[in-house]
Amino acid sequence: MPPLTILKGTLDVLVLKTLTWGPMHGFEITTWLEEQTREGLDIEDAALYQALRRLEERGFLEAELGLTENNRRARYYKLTTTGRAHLRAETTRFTRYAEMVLAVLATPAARA
Amino acid sequence: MLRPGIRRLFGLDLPRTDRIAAELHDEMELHLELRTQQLIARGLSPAAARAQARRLFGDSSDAIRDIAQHARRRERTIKRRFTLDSLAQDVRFALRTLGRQKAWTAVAIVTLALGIGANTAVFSVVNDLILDPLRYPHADRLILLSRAIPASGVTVSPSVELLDAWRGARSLEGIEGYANNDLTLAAGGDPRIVHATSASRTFPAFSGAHLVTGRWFNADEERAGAAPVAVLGERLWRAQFNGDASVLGRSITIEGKPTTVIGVMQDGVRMPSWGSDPTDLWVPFTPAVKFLGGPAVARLRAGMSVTQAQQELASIATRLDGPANPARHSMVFTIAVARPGIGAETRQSVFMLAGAVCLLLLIACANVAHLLLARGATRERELAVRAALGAGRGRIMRQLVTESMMLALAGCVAGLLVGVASLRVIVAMRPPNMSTLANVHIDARVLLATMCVSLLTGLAFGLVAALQGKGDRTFSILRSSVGGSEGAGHHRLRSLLVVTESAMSVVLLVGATLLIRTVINLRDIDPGFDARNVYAMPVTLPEGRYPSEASRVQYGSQLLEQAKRIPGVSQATIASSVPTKSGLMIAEWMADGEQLPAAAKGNGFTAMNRVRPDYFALMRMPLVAGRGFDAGSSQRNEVVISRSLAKQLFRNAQAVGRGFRARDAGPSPSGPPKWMIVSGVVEDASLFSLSDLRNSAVVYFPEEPTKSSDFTLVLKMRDGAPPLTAALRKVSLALDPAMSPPAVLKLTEELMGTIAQQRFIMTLLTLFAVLAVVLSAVGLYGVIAYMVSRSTREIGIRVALGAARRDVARLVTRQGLMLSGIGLAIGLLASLWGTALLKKDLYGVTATDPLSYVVGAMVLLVLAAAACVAPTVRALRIDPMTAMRSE
Repeated sequence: MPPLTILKGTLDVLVLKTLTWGPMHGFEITTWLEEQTREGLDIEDAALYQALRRLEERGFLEAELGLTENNRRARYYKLTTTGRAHLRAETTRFTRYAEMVLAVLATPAARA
Repeated sequence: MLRPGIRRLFGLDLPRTDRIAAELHDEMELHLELRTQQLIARGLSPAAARAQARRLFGDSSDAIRDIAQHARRRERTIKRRFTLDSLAQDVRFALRTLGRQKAWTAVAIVTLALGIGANTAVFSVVNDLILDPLRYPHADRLILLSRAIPASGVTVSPSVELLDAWRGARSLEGIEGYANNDLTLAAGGDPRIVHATSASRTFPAFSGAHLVTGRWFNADEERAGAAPVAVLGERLWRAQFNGDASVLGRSITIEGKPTTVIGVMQDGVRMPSWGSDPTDLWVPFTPAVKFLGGPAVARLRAGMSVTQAQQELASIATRLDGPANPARHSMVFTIAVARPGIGAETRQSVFMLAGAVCLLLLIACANVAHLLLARGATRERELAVRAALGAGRGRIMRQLVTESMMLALAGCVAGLLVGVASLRVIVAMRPPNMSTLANVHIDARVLLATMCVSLLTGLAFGLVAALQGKGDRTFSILRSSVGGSEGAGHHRLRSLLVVTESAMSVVLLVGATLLIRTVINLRDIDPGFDARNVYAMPVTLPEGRYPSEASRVQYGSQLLEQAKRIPGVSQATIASSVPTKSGLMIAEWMADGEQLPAAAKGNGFTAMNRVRPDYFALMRMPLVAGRGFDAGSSQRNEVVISRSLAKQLFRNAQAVGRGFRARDAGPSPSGPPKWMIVSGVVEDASLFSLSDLRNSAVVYFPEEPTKSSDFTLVLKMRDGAPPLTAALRKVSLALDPAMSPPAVLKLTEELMGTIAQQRFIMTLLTLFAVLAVVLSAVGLYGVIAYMVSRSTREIGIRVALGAARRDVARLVTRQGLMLSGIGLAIGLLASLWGTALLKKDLYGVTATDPLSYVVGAMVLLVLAAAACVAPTVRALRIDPMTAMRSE
C-alpha cells in the first residue's frame, strides 16, 4: 500500500505530539514521525519545516540553536506551555472527530 | 548563540532578515545531510541517496519563501512589542516622576498653557481678520477696488456707474459690488430691523456661497420695477421661520412692501467691507441701489497681472468721469490685493498684538526650559545612580525626553482650554469694527503650530538636561554628595534665559503702559459737547408708509411732543444726526471773494447736519462767534459752521457774515449758485471718534430735519432720571405700530465705543504684559532659589567667618538684580524699536514717552526684587554649623 497523503491540519498536531518527547531538530522530528507511522504517512520535508515555523510564530514552539551528537549546529524546537495546552485541546478534538467518523463508517451498509 | 530573550535583555541587535535566511539554509542543509546519511546506511549509493533526499524534501523554493516570511513576521512582532513595551514603561515612569513633584509640574504646565492658550486665541483672530478674510474661491486672483481721495488718502467705494463700466473690463473674470441697508421686515410679529445686503445675480457663483434652499435672483428681478423678491439669511430663516422650507413663495413685508421669498442663503458669507454685520436678508441689486457699501471685489482673469488690470480700470474710470466733473476728477482709484477685511490701521494693531503674544509664548517656553534645566541639575544624582546600575546613555536620554514631551503634551491640552476661554473673552470684548469676530473659532492649524513650538522646546531642553548628566561624570557626582557644583556653561544658559525673559517683558510692559496712557488721554478729551445724560434715537421712516414730506414732518413733531412728556426729560430736539453717527459728504468749498480755480478748501470731508435752533443749547456746544439759529435763519440762507471749517475757509479772518459754497454747486432756480452765509461758529465736536477731532468740518443747516426720512431724536435727561428705553419704545409703538421701535443710544457710551479699538488692544496688551512679567519673575525666582540651595555651604562658611546678615542678603539679591538689570537695558532698547509699531494706536503720548519707559522698568525691577525675597530669607536662615556638617 502506498503511503497515505496527510490530511490537512493534522501535521501540526503530529509535530506538537512529537515534541512532547523533548526538544528535537527538524530531521529528528521527521525520523521520529516516520518510525511511529512506519513510513505509512507521506510527509513532505518542506511541509514539515513550514509547519515548524508556523507553530513557532503562533507561540506553540520555541527555537533554540544547539549542537547535535556529531557537533553540528542545529535548530532545536521545544514545546511551550501554550503549545502543550494547544496540543491537549487539539488531541481531544481530533479523537472525538475520528471516533464519530469511525462510528458512522462502522454501521452495516444499507441495502441498495 | 544567544537566546532572543537574553539578546533583548542586553539590548543587542535582534537577528535581521539575512541572518534568518542563512539560518534557514543551514537548517535545511543539515536535514539533507542527515537524510543522505540515513539512506546510505540503508544501502543506497551516496549519489542516489543525495538525490533521494532532495526528492523527499519536496519543493524547497516555495517552502523557503514561505518559511522566511513567517520568520520575518515573527521577528517584527517581537521587535514591535519590545518598542511599545519600553515606550509604555517610559511614559509610566515619566508620569510617576512628574506626579512626585506636583508643584513643579503644575508650574510648568500652567506656564505652557498660558503661552499656548494666548497664542492660539490671538492667532485664530489674526487668521480670521487678516490672513483669510474672504474665503472666496481663487483667492489668489481676488482684488478689491476702491477710490482714494488724494488729499487725505481716505478710500471710498466706487460709484455704481463705475462698477457697471468696470463690468466690461477684459482683465477681470468677474466683479461684484454690493450695498448694505438696514431694512424693516414684517413677517408676523413685531416689525424688526434686519441687516440687508443687495447683491447681484452672479454673486453666489463669484463668492462660492451656496443656497440652503430655493433659488437666487435672476436677471429679470434686477430690472427697475420688477416685483420685489428676497432671499433670507439662514440665521433669520431658522430664527423667524423655524427653518421651514415652505417659506419659499411666501410673502413678507419689507419696508412696507409685500415681497416674495425665493430662497435661503447659507450663513457665514463674507463681504469685503470693513467689519460688516452678518447679512440676514438678501435683496437684488436693482437700479434703485445708489451707493456701494464697500469696495467692489473682482477676480482677475487667469494670467492677468494686477498692473494690467490697474491700467485698464484706471482708463475706464477716467473715460467715465470725463473732464466735466471736477469733483470726481480729483479722485484716484486704488486697487488692493484682497487681503483687508479690515482697515490698514487695525491690521497693523492686530499684527502688533500677534507679535506681543509671540513674545509671551517665547517667555513661557524660556520658563519651562528653566524648570527643566533646574530639575535636570537636581536629578544628576538620580541619573548617575541609574547609569551606574547599567542604564545606557540613550535609555536615560529617552527617559528625559519622554518626560519633557509628556509635560509639553499636558501643556497643550491645558493650553487648548485656556485658548478656548481666551477666545471667548476676546470675542466678547471685540470693538465694533471687528464684528466678524463673533464667528471666530479656534483654528486647528494655529493650535498645531503652537503645539509644535512647545513640543520642540520640551524636546530641546529635555535633551540639554539629559546631556548634562554625562556618563564620564557619573563617578564624581556619586562621590560628592551635597553641594556638587553646576557646570559653568549650564549656568550661563540659565542666566541667558533670565536676561531674555526680562528683556521681552520690558517691551510688553512699555507697550502696555503707552496704551494705558493713550486710553486715559482719550477718555479725558473734551469731545466739544456735553454728552452726559444725552440720549439719541436715530429714526428711519419707511418710505412706503411716509411718502410725503408733510407726513414725515407730522410724525417728527408728534414724536418730539410725546418724548418731551416722558418723565425725566429736561430738553428734547431733533437733528439729522448726532456726533459719532455723522454722515460725511465729500465737498470742496470755496469762500466768497476768492479766485475761483485755486479756491478749493479743506481735505474733502464735511459733515452736514440739519438741526433745530435749540440743538446747540441741548448739546452745550458753545458758540465761538456770531449767533445761532432763529425762525428766519433758513430764509436768510444762514448756516452755522464748526471752528475747524471756519479756519479752513477763512483762515484766521472773521468768519461771521462771510459766504461760501460748494465749488461745483449748480445754479439756483433764481440764477447763479447761492452762497451760504455764516451766522455763527461753534466749537468742534468729535464726528466719528474721540481720537479724531481734526476731521471735524461741519455745516449746520437751519432746515427742518424731519423733512428727510432719516433723523435723530435727541434727549437731555435730568440726573437720576428713570430708564428711557421702555418709555420711548411705548411712544414709538403708539405713534406707528407697524414700525420697528428704533434703538436708543447713550451718547457717553457711543463716545467710549469710538475708542473701543484702543481699549481692546490696551486690555489685551496689558494682560500679556502682566503674564509676561509674572512668568519672568517666576523664572528669576527659580534661578536665584536654585543658586541659594547650591551655595548653602558657601553661605554657611561666610556666616561662620563673620559675614553680617546684610552681606548675605546682598550676595543673593545682587545676582538676581544684575540679571534683570541686563535684561532691562536690552528690553528698553528693544522697546524703542517695538513701540514704533504702536504709533498709530497712541494718542497724546509719543512712542518714546519717557514716563512709560520708567514705569515699565520700575514694574520689572519691583517684581525682580520680589522674586529674590524668598531665596534671600532662606539664605539668611542658614545655620553655619548645620550647613558645614551636612557633608
